Parts: sequence; structure tokens; C-alpha cells
Amino acid sequence: MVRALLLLLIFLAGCTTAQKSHISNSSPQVRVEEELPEFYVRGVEIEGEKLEEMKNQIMRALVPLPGVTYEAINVTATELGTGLNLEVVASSRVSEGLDIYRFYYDPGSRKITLKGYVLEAIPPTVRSKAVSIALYSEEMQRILSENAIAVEPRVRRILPETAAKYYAPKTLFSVTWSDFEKRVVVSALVDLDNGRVVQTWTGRG
Amino acid sequence: MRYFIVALLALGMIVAANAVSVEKVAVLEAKAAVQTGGQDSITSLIINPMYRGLQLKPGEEEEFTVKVKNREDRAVELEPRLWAMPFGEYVLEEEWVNISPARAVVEKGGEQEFTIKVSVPADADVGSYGAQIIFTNETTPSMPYPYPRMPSALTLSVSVWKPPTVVVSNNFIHDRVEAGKTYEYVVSVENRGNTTIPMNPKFGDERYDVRCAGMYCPGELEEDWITITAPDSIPPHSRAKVRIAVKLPEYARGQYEGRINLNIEDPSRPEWRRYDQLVTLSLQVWQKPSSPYEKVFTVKDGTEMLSVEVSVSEFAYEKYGTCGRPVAEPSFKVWFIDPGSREVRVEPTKTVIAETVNLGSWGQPPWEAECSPGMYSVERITFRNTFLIENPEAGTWHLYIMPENAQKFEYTIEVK
Repeated sequence: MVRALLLLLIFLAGCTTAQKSHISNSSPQVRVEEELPEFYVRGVEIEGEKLEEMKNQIMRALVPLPGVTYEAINVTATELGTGLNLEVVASSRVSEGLDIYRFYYDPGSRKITLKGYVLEAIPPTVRSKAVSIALYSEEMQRILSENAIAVEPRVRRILPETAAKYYAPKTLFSVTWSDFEKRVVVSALVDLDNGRVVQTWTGRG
Repeated sequence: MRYFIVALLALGMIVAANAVSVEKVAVLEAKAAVQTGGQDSITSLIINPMYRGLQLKPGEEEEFTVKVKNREDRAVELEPRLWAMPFGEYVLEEEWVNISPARAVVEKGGEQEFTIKVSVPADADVGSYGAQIIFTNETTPSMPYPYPRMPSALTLSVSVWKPPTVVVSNNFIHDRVEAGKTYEYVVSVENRGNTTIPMNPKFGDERYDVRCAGMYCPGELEEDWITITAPDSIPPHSRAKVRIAVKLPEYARGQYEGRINLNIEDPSRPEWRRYDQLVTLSLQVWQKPSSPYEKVFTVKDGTEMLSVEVSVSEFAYEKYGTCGRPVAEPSFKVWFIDPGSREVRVEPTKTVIAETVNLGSWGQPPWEAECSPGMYSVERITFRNTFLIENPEAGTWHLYIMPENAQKFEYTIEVK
């Protein structure tokens, strides 16, 4: 039973990339790889020097996973108090997941500050490794089998500033199974370098 | 290729699944040995874990412990040693494995811990190595297999790997394209090694080609639609670009898939593991319809209102597309022909944009919740227009819908 359940889990994990189908803009007839990512801004109109300054700050603040190059960056600017909320969606060809950052632009200091992120632009090989490490953990095996969870996990990158509070100031990966039907969520915080699970969490709705 | 990867992951999971049930299996086996009259000669031991899988690079070493509990009513002498399994890619060399202590006497009901240290030589070949560490010399038949089974053993698997010398930047290309046009895609290949590596990209590869079966399978890209331009080698510490031009004929329709094997002689990858050198092209040919969709329906006498609702939905990832460029929003033109053969064009009386937004607040582990405060995630967006015609003439009506930037749409006709 347990074997079958976990076999199904890994099968679903492997299916993730196969199931998602992204559709790209087909307007240019010939596409050539660009060295710099394409940059789009929409929402609140920002022009001229301010746009360039903001763009440069955003480019410096983004932290793709080593080996991942952003191909396109979409920025949506909305008013927030006296400043701007900037939702930055960065995509890469090596991953179907997106890296999403939220920045606040302070017009006084003319600086942006990172307020949040959801980072899923993770190459399939790295993703599989994180899931495998989580599944090899005896504790995770026990939790998953006890809750009979058979859904595909999501994998997100956790930046060192956040990871420091839970383990160490280094990049970690959060592997999470959300079974909404059973109202159970199980997550493992994975250290890829050492190949081990450093924290686990179970949530019930 | 994706089917191949799924198969590999599934195979890999068998390994994990073995690890899951280690303790339970061990207990069951021990009980079986105790309870079965004919198996009195099998020493009842609980071995934990019964499986261990290691991933090591040449020159690396790792150690772990295994606990052996004696369930006999007497002391047992254990002398663990390596036992080659008659299957697998490579047999684990005895010199690679050190077991400490080499011998131990475990009292009745007692437990002994052994430390297993695996050291992979620097010149070891990449591959999968396996063996069993047996704690007794006892065997049981294992029909239908022609070799005996070792009941008191730990199965040890060592995957010797090296980081890839060649890194392919983009091996899954998905795009929405139009028939009759030519598209070019560029795959970047990086050689991180110190030697020049040959490359010979070819369209198609039967070795990794797991054919899709069934009515919903995509069509296959034709070889003569594809032109590949690439250098025949990649100098050390440099990048090469493989340009793939796809010329779609006018008659192309629907979904197409095809694979290109980059044929790169990566010294750190055995040939069977070079599936990551396959570039999958998945193209959806969007054909602008030459005529609108037509639906004929009847309106009865005394009808006060004819209401038509047309909607189109897309997932957020479709909106951003593979390359992150925003995709044009879907739309549609709607008109009618009334029973008197007159064209009726009406503006939508109601336009609805509906989104499924996930705040992600429920079901997030603390390390995710902390880094994504107030992050809204649009999962799905729906555009819906409603067209109303009051007191429609009784008789046969024709509804026409012409979609723009949409692969599929839904509609409802309400007559009341």
C-alpha cells in the first residue's frame, strides 16, 4: 500500500512538467535568443529616467537560481500608499515555473525594497532532486503515508534571508504536498547541498 | 522524452518505496522466520534499514549506521560481509566498503550497531553499483528466480555520478504558431569541461522515443519541416548555439511534437543517461479561422428575451507563455442572422472578467508564508460577454462567433 502510494507520488511529481503547457506570444515570426531578458512594464505609467532607474534596480535585485537565466521579465506597477507596488514575474526557458517578486518603490528615496517572493523557476533536474531528498526522509515517508497523500508536490526556492530563521543562511527548497480534498498540507524544507530534510511541517485546514 | 523521465522517476521511486517499508518488512520477515516451522534455521533478526541508496561522486565517501536486533532466545554471532547480487549494472567492489565492527556477538534481545563506510575511488566509472551486506550466511529459495535470497541482509545501492560537462539551456520548447510560417528557436549548449566535445544534432531519436497512443496524441513534426544549424564541436569553456528552424506547411493543424537529439559526447554521462540532450519541440498550430462558428437555433412565439453568453478562459501560465511575453488577451466577435435573414449586431450588455486568485495563506509552511506576505496569485482568468436581444422574432436564428487569440471558447443560448 505504502509502496504504491509513494510510487504514485513520484509519478505525479514527474508529470508536472509534462502537464503544464505554456503558450508564448507568436507575433514575431523569427525568434532569436537574446542575451538580455525582455522587459515589459504595465499598470501605472512610468516613463523616462524613472523607468530606467527602476528597471536597473529591479535587474540588480533579482536572484535567479545559479544556472537559470531569465528570458523575460514582466513588471506590473500599482499604486500603494505614496509609492508603487511592483510585481515582477521572471521566466526562464529552463523551467516552466516562474519566479515572482514583490517590491515596494519609495518615491522619497527612489529605492526599491523586496517585500516578498514566490520562486518556482527551478530546472526539472533540481526539482526532482529536491523531491527525491524529501521522499528519502524517514519522517516525510511516515507523514505522507500516515496522511495517505497522493498528490504532486510543488517546489519553491527559499532565499538565505528567510532560510536563516529555520536552518541556515543558504538557499533551501520547500517541497510541499497540498491535498485540498483531505485538507492536509505537508512540507519539507530541503538542503540540496547536504541532501537532507532540515525541517518538516504539517498543516490542517 | 517526458515519458522516459516519468518512467525513470517511477523506477527511482521503487527504491524510495523500498526504503519506506524497511522497518515493517523487517519485522514481518523476522516474524515469518520465527513462526514458520520449516524455517527454523533462519536466524530471526531485525535489520534497520534494509535498504540504503547513496549518491556519490568519484573520490567521495559516506558512512551510515545499521542496527541489527537479535530476536532469538540465544546469543548470535554476526559477521557482516559484502554479497554480490546477480543483477544490476555494476557490482559494488569489496574494497569500497568498510564495515565496523567486523564481528559482533549480540545477546538475546540485544541490538548491535554497525557502521558502513563507502569510499568511491577517484577513477570509478559513472554508473549504478549494488550489493548486499549480509549478516548471516543463511539463504531462502526465491522462486521463480534461479538464485537464493539472503534474508538477513541490507541492500546497498551506490549511484556514482559526475556533474554534467555539457549543460543544455532549453530542452523543452512549447509555442503557439501559425501554419505557413517559419519559426526559429535557439538552444544554448555550454561545455564546462577542459576538452572539445563533438556534437551532431539530428532530428528524431528512436532510443528515447516513447510513442503516445490514443486519439488525443499530438501529431509528429515532419523531418523536412526542420532545419538544424549547429557547429560540429564545442570548444572547452564555451557556449554553442543550436538553431532550429521550423517551417510549417499551410496544411499544418493542431498539436505537433518532435525530438532532436543533440548527440553530444558528454564524457560525464553514460550513453543511456543522455536523455537530457533531447530537445522536445511541442508546437500548437493556431489557425485563424476563415469563417465564424455557426449555431442554428429556434425561437418560439412569445419569447421576451434572447440571451447569449460567450466566454473564454485561460490559465495564468498561458498568459505569460513559455518566454514570459504576455500573450494577447482572447476576444471574440458575435453576431446573429434573424429569421428574416437580416444581420443583427449587438454590443455586449454585460462584460465580466473573473479571476481565481490564490492568496496562498492556507496550506503554506511557515518558511513559504514568511517570504510571500500578501502575494496574490492569479490562477485562472475568464472573459465573459453577454448579448441580449429583446422580443426576438420567432423562427430560425443563426449565431456566429469569431474567436481571436483563443484556442477554445464556450457559449450558452438562453431563450425565455
